[in-house]
Amino acid sequence: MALVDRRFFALLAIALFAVLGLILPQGARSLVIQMMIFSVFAMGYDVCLGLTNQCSLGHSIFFGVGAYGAILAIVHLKAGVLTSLAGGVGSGLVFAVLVGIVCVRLSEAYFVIVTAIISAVFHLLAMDLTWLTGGDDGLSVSVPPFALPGVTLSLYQPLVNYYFVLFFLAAAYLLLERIVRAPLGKIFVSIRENEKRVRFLGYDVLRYKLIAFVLSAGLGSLAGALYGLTLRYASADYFSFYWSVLPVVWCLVGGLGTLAGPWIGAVLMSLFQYYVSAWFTYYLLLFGILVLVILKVSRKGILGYILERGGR
Amino acid sequence: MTADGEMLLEIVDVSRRFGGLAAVDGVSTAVRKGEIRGVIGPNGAGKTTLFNVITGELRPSSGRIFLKGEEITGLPPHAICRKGLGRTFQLTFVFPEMTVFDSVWVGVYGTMKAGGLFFSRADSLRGVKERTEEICGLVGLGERMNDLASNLSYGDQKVLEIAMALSTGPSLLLLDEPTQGVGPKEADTIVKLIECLSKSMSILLIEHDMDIIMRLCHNLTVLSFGRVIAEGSCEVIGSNDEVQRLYLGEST
Repeated sequence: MALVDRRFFALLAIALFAVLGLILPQGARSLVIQMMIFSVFAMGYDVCLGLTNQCSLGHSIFFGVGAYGAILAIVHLKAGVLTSLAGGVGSGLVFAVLVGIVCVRLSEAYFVIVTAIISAVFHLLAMDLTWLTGGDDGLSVSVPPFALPGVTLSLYQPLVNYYFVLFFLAAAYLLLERIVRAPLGKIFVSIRENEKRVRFLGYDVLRYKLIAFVLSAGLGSLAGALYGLTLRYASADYFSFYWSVLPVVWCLVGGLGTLAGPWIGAVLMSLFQYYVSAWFTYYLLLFGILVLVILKVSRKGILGYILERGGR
Repeated sequence: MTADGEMLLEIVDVSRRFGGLAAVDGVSTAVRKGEIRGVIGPNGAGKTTLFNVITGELRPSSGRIFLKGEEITGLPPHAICRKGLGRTFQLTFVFPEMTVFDSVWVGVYGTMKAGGLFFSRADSLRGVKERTEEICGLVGLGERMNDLASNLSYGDQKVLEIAMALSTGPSLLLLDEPTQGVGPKEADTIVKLIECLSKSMSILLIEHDMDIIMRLCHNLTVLSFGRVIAEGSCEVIGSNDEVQRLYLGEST
């Protein structure tokens, strides 16, 4: 029942994004592109926190690696758009396996701390290795056009950029929805509910936590790569703690374990960032209060609340 | 000890120490095929610790454990489970936000090796669904399959525990106080369920209620301060002086 409702919401949101792309003015369209990229990141993070209860504070690693993977592939390998995207996701997956193998065996609090520390190390490295990353100034690139059968497109065209990102949001969603409905999804949720019990049902829990972590990080790096390609820029800042906390907030606001719920969090926060920050510098303070109010009303976040009410 | 049936579980001189305290201290016992063996003893005697050592949650400090003649000492819980050992927990230990069906489904899926881990539709994996429904029906939760575990009564959660332990198709079931905290009527249902299960598997049972013990068990192992102080059939144990002193001495 609830599954149908959740899918309905997600498909509705994708349809809405598709229409908005055509009717929005240029400025707002850029904002929605950002929202969609953050939605990919948020949804990926939900696999970690919402489905398997692993509260990572290290997802900036994968966002940053994804962005740099794509940008560096263009700079050094003269890669095309799709190759550089694959490069970003690929390098994200490699780092996810390395970080995951160390971290998934840690119990809750240690997992949080160690992922945070590792991401801090990455941030420092990214700032220091200026020959590779450009440090705080970052790296700018010009993104080459790419060819689909019949047409040549360039991300410099705003509409192309918009639907390019929307395509990956939809694809990522369909992939995850499929996985959630597959045996793996049920195993993930059972791990969230009671990790120890799952062991006594014959599952090597660490293996499944690692799968969830890598899947989640893969989408984080996809978001990073899309962000890098959209801005045609990556900087050491992508590794900062800020980018690790953002997905946590998006997921809490939107609703843990609902996949599309975190999109709401990402959209709300982007709106705040864009419109409220114009007249109030400390908009994050206001957003913090909003988060508290939302969680006070429902610990399941916005979509969790809606689904719960709708289910009755 | 009845000598019929082959040896299913053998525990040889197993100890588990926490610092200076030996929670389980040189315990040797065995469960034969088709047997229901009760483990009794006062609180803190090491019964649950013994269960945790057998199921792989804790490593024994010394000693060896065999299941169907194969050594399982020091294996992780999931590996021991796969070799045919299921357990329930003293305090209910279910998946609160999952349905009864899904809770049992997870165990059945892993055991049947039905494949399609990433992309198949979980609900359409044929054999798994039927087996899950069969288990839910067997324990009497057939009508509640679509309810969340957290919405079940405490007694039904205890039954769900047993159903989850059954989902992996165990040949030996370890039950840790299956009737603790439930009303007499529900306890009776659980006892009948255990009787029914014992036809197809061996059971090692921790229980405080002596009536239930006497009703269910063929043999008993009595623990006190981590040691086996008596072992044998219910009648033999009932007339054992040390056991009488332990139990009567405490309750009067």
